[in-house]
Amino acid sequence: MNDKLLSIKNLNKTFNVNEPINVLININIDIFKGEFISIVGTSGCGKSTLLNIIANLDKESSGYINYFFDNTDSIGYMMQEAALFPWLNVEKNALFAAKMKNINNNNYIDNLLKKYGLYEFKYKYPSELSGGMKQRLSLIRTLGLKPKLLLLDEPFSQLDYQSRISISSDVYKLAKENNITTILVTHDISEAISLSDRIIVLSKRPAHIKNIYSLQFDKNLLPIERRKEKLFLSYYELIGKDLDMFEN
Amino acid sequence: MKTKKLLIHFLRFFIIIIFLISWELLSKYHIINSFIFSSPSKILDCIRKLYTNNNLFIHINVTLHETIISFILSIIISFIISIFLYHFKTIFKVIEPLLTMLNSTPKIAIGPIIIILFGANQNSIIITALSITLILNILTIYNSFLNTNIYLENYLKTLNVTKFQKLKYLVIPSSYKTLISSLKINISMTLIGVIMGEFLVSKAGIGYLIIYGTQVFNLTLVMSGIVILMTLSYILYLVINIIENKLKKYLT
Repeated sequence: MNDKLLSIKNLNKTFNVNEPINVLININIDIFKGEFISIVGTSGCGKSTLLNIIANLDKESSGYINYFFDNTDSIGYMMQEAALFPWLNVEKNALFAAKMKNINNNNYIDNLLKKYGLYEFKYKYPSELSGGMKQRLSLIRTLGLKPKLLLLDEPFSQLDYQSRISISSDVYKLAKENNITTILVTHDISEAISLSDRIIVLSKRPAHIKNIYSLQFDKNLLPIERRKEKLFLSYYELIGKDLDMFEN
Repeated sequence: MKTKKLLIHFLRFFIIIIFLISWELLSKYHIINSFIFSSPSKILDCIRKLYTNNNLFIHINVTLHETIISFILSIIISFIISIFLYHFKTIFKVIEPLLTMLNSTPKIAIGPIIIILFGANQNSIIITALSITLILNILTIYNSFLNTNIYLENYLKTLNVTKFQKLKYLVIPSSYKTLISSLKINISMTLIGVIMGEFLVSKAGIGYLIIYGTQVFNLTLVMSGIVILMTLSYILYLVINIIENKLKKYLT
């Protein structure tokens, strides 16, 4: 748990659209192997930008990220949109990432399809699936890579409340069982508290780290069980205050 | 739903029958000039004669052969050129005005040049047909290459795929939908091009029949050519429709 997986140093990001817009200011954080981290912040503050920079989809304006692993092959990124290939069936979509990386994880992916109730639909196409099923398929495709670092950008936002709780719990279990470091971007504080080891609270734009909470829950508690704890409410209040949720 | 479909079919058939009967009667009683407008019975007789003289299918085969070759060539060539231009976008930017200019030029105007360059043979007919469809196809396919799903593009970026993998797994499959939906327009445009080519230079084909009929003032032959052409065009449309539906199932 104490081995660093990545280290972000003095990271700044500015977008140059007509005039420079500062999005991220002086972000410093070390992320450790096996950690489940959530990034919360108000809408549009730069959470996804930070995730994109970690995923190499975007470039930092200054500062740097040190990856203590081969970052090109071991990052799994699940975006808000399921981003499935409409011309590939469920099975081929699920295997896509592994195929691109020349990894033979067919049995593992088959098991994931069974676990998430998509095995019977493996010859169906994305247009024949519900929103929740698409999101689960996107998750299976990402997990199929057995990534060292799993980046989740509001992946459960399109699911109904029940599926959201159940799938986020599954992701938590899978990440913990396989020692996958996970960074989740979410606007849902309850989700962040129920899943994370640490929560990074970003300020409004230009975003800096306002607070980092190391959550002190019993390690054996499941995400759903955390929600019943008194600590849960305390964290909710603290983070809510950080995000100015209780004003007015 | 089924009754409505049947009603539509019946109405179509009914309108055609009424049209043919009116045409026949108007021509028979000299209300319209039967020399210019001919009549359904004369046209039918002309087609029957073409058939008994073993000429009908010779002309249809020639036109069909030229159409299918031009159609397939147009799709393959435009696809290859679009891939090339997608890789070298600056080249596309340089030639874009030229493509637009060429596309809006009436192709009949460049017909004589095509004949001089490629000779008075079937090649010129195919080139004329290509001149009508090729540029439009290139522009359509190229634009579909550019308009791939942004989320899928971002997803591929997270996988660090190569330019070739992006082309193979995203750009080309994304364009199938556009390509399939353009097949119907393509086949009719190709047919127009082939007939135009046959007007300019041919020894056989439906276009030849029409132009020959005009030259000898046999307007029944001209009308027969038009009827054969319309029937052929409709059959090709139906075939493409079947292909389109089959492809849609697999590719979209």
